[in-house]
Amino acid sequence: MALIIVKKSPANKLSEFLLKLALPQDKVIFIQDGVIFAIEKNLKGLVKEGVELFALKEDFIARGFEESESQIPLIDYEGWADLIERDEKIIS
Amino acid sequence: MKKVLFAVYNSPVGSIWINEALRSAFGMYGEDLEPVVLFVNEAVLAVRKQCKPEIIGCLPLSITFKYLEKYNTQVYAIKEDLEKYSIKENEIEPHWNLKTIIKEELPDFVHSFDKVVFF
Repeated sequence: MALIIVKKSPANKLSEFLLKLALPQDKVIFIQDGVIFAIEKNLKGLVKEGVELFALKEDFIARGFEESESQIPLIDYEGWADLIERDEKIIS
Repeated sequence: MKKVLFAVYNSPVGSIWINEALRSAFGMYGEDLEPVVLFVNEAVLAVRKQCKPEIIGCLPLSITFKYLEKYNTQVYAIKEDLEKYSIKENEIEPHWNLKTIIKEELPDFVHSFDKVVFF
């Protein structure tokens, strides 16, 4: 089980590379420009079954999006800190 | 002993990312950490004998070879990316002692490390 941190937008190849690494029970959090993934309609199709997806609320709102536009749960900085503390293995 | 993977995805010429990744990897030997290096996307260009960033004034890659040998640092490259850039076996610089890995094996390979850092 790992926490994968995606910082780059969908336009950057590394982002897709990271999503393909995710295994079931992994968590992926989108931060910085990575939050742009949160409005993608087929986002769930980019990862394997059983991978949990989150986006960082502050980064999402800062980029002018409405919370309702997100296709995945938004978590705040505190929630992100909890994720980091809980997951021993981090891929970023 | 914990294992750390340094995955380089930036091109070896025009930025210092690959030198920084190797420098960080060598720094692990002072701790109880075993580093492994992985070249992804354009970073695989680094393994070619003719890849010489010093030609345009960047840091040479060859300065790392004696440490790769001394510490027996494992260096991997993604097979499909080597093929994408038409890098043939006989073009690969022997000092890298390069191992290859196919994309299909990457998720398990990456998850076998305690920490993974992308450069």
